[in-house]
Amino acid sequence: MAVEIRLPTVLRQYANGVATVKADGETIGQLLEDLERQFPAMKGQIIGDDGKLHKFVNVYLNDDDIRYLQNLDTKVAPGDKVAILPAVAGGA
Amino acid sequence: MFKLNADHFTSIVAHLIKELPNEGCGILIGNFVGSYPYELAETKVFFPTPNEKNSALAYQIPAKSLLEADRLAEKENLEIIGVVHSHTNSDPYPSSTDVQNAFDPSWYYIIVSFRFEHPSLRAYRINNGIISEEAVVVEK
Repeated sequence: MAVEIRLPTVLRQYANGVATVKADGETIGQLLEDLERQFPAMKGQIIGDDGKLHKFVNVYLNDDDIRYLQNLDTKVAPGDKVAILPAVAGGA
Repeated sequence: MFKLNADHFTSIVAHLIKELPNEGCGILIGNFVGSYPYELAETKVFFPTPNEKNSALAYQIPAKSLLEADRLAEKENLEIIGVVHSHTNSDPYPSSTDVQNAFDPSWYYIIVSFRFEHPSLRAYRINNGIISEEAVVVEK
């Protein structure tokens, strides 16, 4: 099914500048694979070579962080909204 | 160039002072001007957040706070244009930790230092480890 994904600013450059895209899949992992198929330049930006989410990337399914759900195996439903957000940190 | 108004400046400093002795942080929402990675950002909203690290030496914005800020930005047809954090005892200049964690070349990284008698605010862009300072304009 098609689900809306909101992209952070830094990834929009790989998606023709748009902030929200649609991707197909039954799980978060499948949605992200479809995202990379649509926008090949995005490959490697969200999921590492180990097949896991980069530690500095957060993915939310509606109001929930997928790390507290079933991670990339989290199922999606029609009307769900996915947001990809960077980790923001630093210090003195 | 980074623009904010006097109310934003006051709110930012007040929030960061309230977080002392820990580093404080928040998200800046507004408009970029030009094409990526943009020449100018204009602040419209300062979105204060907790510091998940609760530390005088490090900060981390809770992902949930970033989600809320992003939703507010979307609702107001704005963008997240950057992040502000404080340096409690060091200069208002990006640390190696700040640089390692700067993933978006378009974002403005604002640092407020409490090292001196008065809070000192400076703005930077960080691209692939290269730091460039940006002019700050505080409008009435």
